[in-house]
Formats: sequence, structure tokens, C-alpha cells
Amino acid sequence: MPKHYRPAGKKKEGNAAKYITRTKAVKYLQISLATFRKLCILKGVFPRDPKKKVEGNHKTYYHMKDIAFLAHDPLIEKFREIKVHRKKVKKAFAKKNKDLADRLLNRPPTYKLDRLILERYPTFVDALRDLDDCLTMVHLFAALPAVEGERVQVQRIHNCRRLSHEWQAYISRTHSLRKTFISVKGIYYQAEVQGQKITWLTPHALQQVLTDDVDFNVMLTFLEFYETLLGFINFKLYHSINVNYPPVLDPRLEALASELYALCRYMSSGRVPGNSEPAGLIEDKEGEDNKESSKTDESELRLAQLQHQLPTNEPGALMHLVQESTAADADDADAKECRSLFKNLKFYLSREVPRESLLFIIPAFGGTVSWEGEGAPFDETDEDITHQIVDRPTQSHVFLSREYVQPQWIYDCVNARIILPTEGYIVGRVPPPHLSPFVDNDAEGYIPEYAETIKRLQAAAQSQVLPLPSLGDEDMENSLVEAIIDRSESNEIADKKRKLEMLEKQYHDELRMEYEGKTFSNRTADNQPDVVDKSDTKEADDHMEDSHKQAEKDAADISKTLMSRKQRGLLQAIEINQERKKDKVNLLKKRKKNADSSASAKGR
Amino acid sequence: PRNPSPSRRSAAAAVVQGEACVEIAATMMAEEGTQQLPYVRETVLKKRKVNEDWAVKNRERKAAKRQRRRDDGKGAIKRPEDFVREFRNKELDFVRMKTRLKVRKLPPAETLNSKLVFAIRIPGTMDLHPHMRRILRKLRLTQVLTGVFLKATDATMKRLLVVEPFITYGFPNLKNVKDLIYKKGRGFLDKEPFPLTSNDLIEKALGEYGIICLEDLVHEIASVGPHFREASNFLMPFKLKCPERRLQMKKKPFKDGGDSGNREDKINELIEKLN
Repeated sequence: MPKHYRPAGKKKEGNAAKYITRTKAVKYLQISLATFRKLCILKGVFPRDPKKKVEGNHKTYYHMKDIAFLAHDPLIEKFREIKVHRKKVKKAFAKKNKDLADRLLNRPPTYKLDRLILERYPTFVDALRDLDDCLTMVHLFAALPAVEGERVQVQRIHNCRRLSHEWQAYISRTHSLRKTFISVKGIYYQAEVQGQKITWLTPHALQQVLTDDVDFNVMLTFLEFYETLLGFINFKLYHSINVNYPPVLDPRLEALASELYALCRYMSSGRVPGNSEPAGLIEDKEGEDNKESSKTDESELRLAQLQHQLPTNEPGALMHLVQESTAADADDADAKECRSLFKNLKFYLSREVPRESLLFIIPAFGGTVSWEGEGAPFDETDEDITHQIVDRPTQSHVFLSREYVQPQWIYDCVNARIILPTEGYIVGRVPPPHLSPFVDNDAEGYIPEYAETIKRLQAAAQSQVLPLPSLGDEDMENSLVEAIIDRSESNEIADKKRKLEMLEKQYHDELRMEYEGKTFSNRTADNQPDVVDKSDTKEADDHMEDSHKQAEKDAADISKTLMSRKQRGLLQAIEINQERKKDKVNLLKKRKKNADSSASAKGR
Repeated sequence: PRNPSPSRRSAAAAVVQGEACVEIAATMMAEEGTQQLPYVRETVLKKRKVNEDWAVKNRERKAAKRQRRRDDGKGAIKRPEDFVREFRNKELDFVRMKTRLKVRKLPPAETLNSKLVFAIRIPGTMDLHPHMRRILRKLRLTQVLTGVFLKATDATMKRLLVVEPFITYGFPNLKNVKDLIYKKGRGFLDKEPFPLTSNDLIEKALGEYGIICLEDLVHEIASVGPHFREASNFLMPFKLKCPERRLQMKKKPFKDGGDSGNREDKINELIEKLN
């Protein structure tokens, strides 16, 4: 019962008035449990955990304001309409009235979730922050089959496939991809869009088997919401780079199973604004330009629109656009590094490599890519190809002008941000370990061997930039100057440290001699007193060590005593975590040692 | 996962749980000095158990549903009129088949648009003449809404003409070939079907013909290569999904406004509806 209804003799206050159990909430809303679950998912309502559970610990509690929030939503009425419509159809079929059933099925009640997206994400950045789960779910369903038993519809799977390809095309076009990692579950990607890091997981391009342990109703409700969300985000992102949305693909490329390439081609051709832009976008731009002035006359608006349409006829319009895009892109050094990683490289993908993933990654880092089959931009016999990605034990024909590498080389180059040497990735060879870019090795305390190698290669690549002062780029000059300053400072610090160490050593030696109270002349004179002196020295050293340990322990105890109980517990938790981490690192080192010893044994 | 939730809340719950674990572990170590015992919250264990119970019940419920559907067909009373009608339908189908073979002249297989044919069994009557039933079994189209890839030869086209009222076929494009094999393909190895979730099984079955991965299989089927027969026999018939609104599936030929027979390139639209 809500709080506002108070029958005589029954008052509710405190948690009893604030929280409501699930059964009572379902009764209050007068919908079924399945519809209640669906509504909670769409509106973002989740159970609460009150400290005092009025009706027992075993029940699920919802906040009363959340339930009122659901009660006032138009969706609840729409769901009731859908239920009534389904009953009507069932009744018509039962009465063998096929005409009525067909008429009812032709006009089903539908609903849209656009209002919910605007309600839950007031600004665009809020939507981008919540995009990880959305992208993972959409990419998962794009790879699932439409099986008869489940309620996964064919149209929904096609929609997910289209949305995922559109998202990948945008990331590839704007060079926003930052990290990739191949795992057993699938391929992880991380992109940076408008300052937000977005990470998602794509299943491998193999068949997915649906298990019966999964409740697809809940997943389909989430998917319904996420499809709408990704549609909105794609719309806004595409318009931010002056491309029409939804895109119109080349039907020939679509028929040849090359949707991602068709999307990239569409984005390249659709770059020019002007006639292709809708009028609303022009008005939006006008609004942005005239923020200062509170009034806008019709004549001024018309004149501005004409001025905007004018540059499409001038020859310098494209140069202006290029300059604008260059200026905008110059802000982000990370994006600049990513866009030029694979520049001037030309890739050809063999049939057996994961084509969709590499078609997404290689253009995102500035490379040119082709594959086997119709609709590909160039053929295998092109002499300009620099790398061919293969994963097959034998090759039909080997061209001497290119390198044959395994697909892992691409992912490792992307994570290292440099072109790695290809010796380790040649066909037929076991590639180096594929390291996760999401792990911070310094924080973990264990740096794998290959990570060390990559660091060295990165340092070498950085040092190659130093002897190029002739470039006129300001960013390059600044980075060069900073590099020089850092190098000189580090040299000075190293020198100072070395001197200090030498001085400290001398001081320690002199102190020890003074403590012993002996000189070289005394030592040479007597032999038997030397033995006695040595034993005395040992005892003295032991005493010194004991005193040192005691001093350290006393200091620690004093500091612990000064802490409060909460701080002491926190310190103990921190120590336990550090101990656990050390154990993990030791386990890794032990494994590595065992692997090395077994490898050497095999070598014999 | 039964209730997938945004990862932020999961992370928050994990953090809270971790803190609880750490606190209790610290207390135990402070008191007893023994090794830390594993700790999982009671509600988490309950939720896990409920999920497992739900999975078991769900499996049983689905099996019972399938059994019930299978039992519905048994025990039905058939009247003599049904037998008579069935026999007459068989005879009529046979006569129509012979007439169709006599009247219709097939163009040579080389003049067709493509060498690859995808045939789908459409819903139809149970009253099949034994001759047609035998040919459908040879084409492996014994179940409704299943499909197979075939090579467009004169013999194959003649067989398809014989069973035309019960199938529809056409020339698929590369996109649909790829979609069908990637999503619905099932291999047949050691007298047992298995899903194509790994390249090792494909290499084990077809490695001697140079087909070592899923993409090789797609290429062989799409281009009708020299080992098309082995590749096609390796793939089980594809089970397609019934659309929301049931197709009318009239027995008239497609060019006459029905649903059976040769659709040529329009088969792609149908495949996109069913896959």
C-alpha cells in the first residue's frame, strides 16, 4: 500500500512506508510478473536493500518512489494493450475466424523506446559512459543464430548486425581504436570517443551454440533497449563527422558479404556536406554560431543558409574542410599516433584469417587492406602489398616483395603502438605470448619477458625520432625539446646519485674501522689476538643487527599504536593484499622457471 | 547469466563483497592466526542455487514440451474417407508429376545464372508418392523448412523438377551462403552431427581436400569448387526458422504467384527471412 492511503487504525511509517515487496508491487501495478521485469529493465529500476527488512530477509524490496515511477509511465498502458491484442488474436483463431485474425495481426500495437533513452541519458556523454554493456550485447546477438525454440527473431539479429557494423565503421573512420586483445571468450576492443573509454567484447567468428541454461527473455529485453540506444548514438556520431545516417550501402558489396567495407566506402563518399545534409542540421549550426545574439531575424537566417550553401560551388571548399579536420585532429596526440601507425602499409588477408576483425583494425590505424574474393579493392598479385596475413601451413605462391605474418602481429603492433619486427610471427613459427593491454605491469609487480622486449623496442623507436630536427611541425619540435630536457635531467640525476653512493660507501667504511678501533699496523703485529678480535667483531655485528631490528620494530609499533582501530584494520587489509600479490608474482616466476627448465631439458 | 545487469553495479557489489571478505579475514587472522578460510556471502550462494535449479527445471520443461508435441500425433482416429482422400491425392500428384516432366523442357544447366543452388523444403502435405519421397530423401530434404546446397547439373535440375511442389530453390549470393554456414551449419563426422564451433573438426573431416577452416568451407561451397560434393555432404541440412507470420507457401510455382519452384535470385530474400 502506498503511504497516502491510510485506513483507520493502520498507519505506516519508516521503512514500511518507503519500501514494498515485489509481490505487492506487481499487485499494485496490476501487471504480470514478466511484464514487471521487462518494465524494470527498460526503466532502470532495480531492487533496494533496506537496513530493516520489514517483511523478512528472504524477500525482494523495491523503493516506493520507483514503483510510482513505473506506475506513471505510458509504457505500462501500452503493455496492457499488447496483452489484450494477443488475447483477441488467440480468440479469433480459436473461433476459426481467420479473416479477423489476419486483420488483427496486420495491425499490432507497437511502442518506441526513444523517450526512455532521453530520460535515462540526458546528455550524450552519459550515454557514451554506459555503452560497454550495450556494445557487448549487440555484438553478441549479431553473431547468434535465430533458433526456432527461442524467441530470438530474425529481424532483430539483422538489426544488431547492422548496428554493430555501423559502430565499427565509425570507429575505423575516426581512428578511435586504442587497444585490442584476443581471449578465449572473444576479441576485446577499447576505443576512445569524445574522451570516454569504451570497451566491448566481440565473439569469435565461429558458430555460437545456444545453451538452455540462459533465460533469453531478460536478455532480449536488455537487447531491445540497447538497440535503441546504439541507434541514437550512431546517429549523433555520424552527424558529428558530416555523414548521413542511416547509411545506404552498395547492394553489390552487400551481396558479396562485405558490409563493413561498403560502410567505409559510404563514409568516404558521404563526407562532403551541402545537398546531402538535412536542413535541420544547418539550423542547428546556425543556432551554435549565433549563441551570443538572443534574436535571429528571418532574413539573417536565410542569408546565412545561402552563405552556407555557397561554398559547395567554390573550388576551395574541400581545402577548407581538410584544414578544419586537420586542425580538429591536431588536438589529440593519441589519435595522431593511432592514425599513422599503419600508414604506407598495404595488407592482404588470406582466406583463413579473421577477416571482419582485421578489416576493422587495419583501417582504424591508417592501413590499406584487401582480401580474397570479388569486391576487394586490389588483388593478391598486386606488387605494392607489404604484408600478407596468413595462418596456413603451406602457401600456394610466395611473393618475395612482401612479408608473410600471422594475424597476432597486427594485434600486438596495435597494443605496442609501433611496428614490431616480424621474425617472431613468420608462418610456421610459434608466435610470442599475446599480452593483455589492460594489465598494468608496474602495478602488478611482474613484467613478462616479452613486455620488457616491447618496452625496449618502444624506447628504440622513440630514440629514432631524436635526430630529425629538420621537421617543421611544432608538436614534433616540442616533443623533441622535452625529450632532450628529460634525457639531460636524467643524466644529471644519475651522476649525482653515483657520487652520493660513493661518498656513502666511504663514510660507512671509515665508520666501521673507527668502530673496530684497529689499524693496519696492529693487525700485522699479532696473530693470535686476531682470532679473538674476529669473534668479538662477529658478536658486535650480531648486536648491531639485533639493535637495528629492534629499532625498526619499535618504530612500527609506535606508528601502529598511534592509529585508530579502523586505520589499523585498513593497514592490515592493505598488507594482506600486498602479500597476496607477491604470492601471485612468485607463482608466475616459479612457472616460468619450470617452463625454462623443461625447455632446456627438451633442448638436450 | 540469468539476470544480466550493467557491469557498474556488478563491480560495486564485488567491491562491497571484497571489503566484507577482507574484514572477516583480518578478524580471523587477528584472533586465531590460522589460514584464511574461503568466504562467500549466503545470499550469493542462494542465488547461485536458485539459478541452477531454474536451469534444471527449464531443461525438463522443454523436454516435456517436445514429448507432448510428439505424442499429440499418436492415437488419432483416421476415418476411411481420410484413407481414400490420401490415396487419391497421391495418385493425382503422381499424374501431375509425369505431366510436368513431359510438358516442361528444362534449359541446359550451363545456361543458368549460377552453378550453386539452394533448395528449401516448404511446408506441404504428408501425402507423398513413394517416388517423390525417395527423391526428397536423396536430396536430404525430409523435414519442413530445411535447406541444402546443390550443384546445378542437368540431373539435379531434373530431380528438382520432379519434386517441385514441395520445395523452392534458387541461386544464393555469397552473403547468404556465408550466413547460413556460419550460423546454421552443422558438420557430420563419425555418424554424428556437431556444430561448427572449431576449425579442428573441419580439418579432421575435410583436411585431405585442402579445406582446413570454416572460411575454406564457405569458399568451396560458394564457388562450387572441385570438392563441392564432399563439402556439401559434410554439411547437414540447415534448419531454418519459421517466420513470425507463417508463410502462405502455396504450391503454385513462384512465377505464377505461388511459393514453390525456381525463384532464381529472389531466394535471397526468403533466406534472409528464415535465417
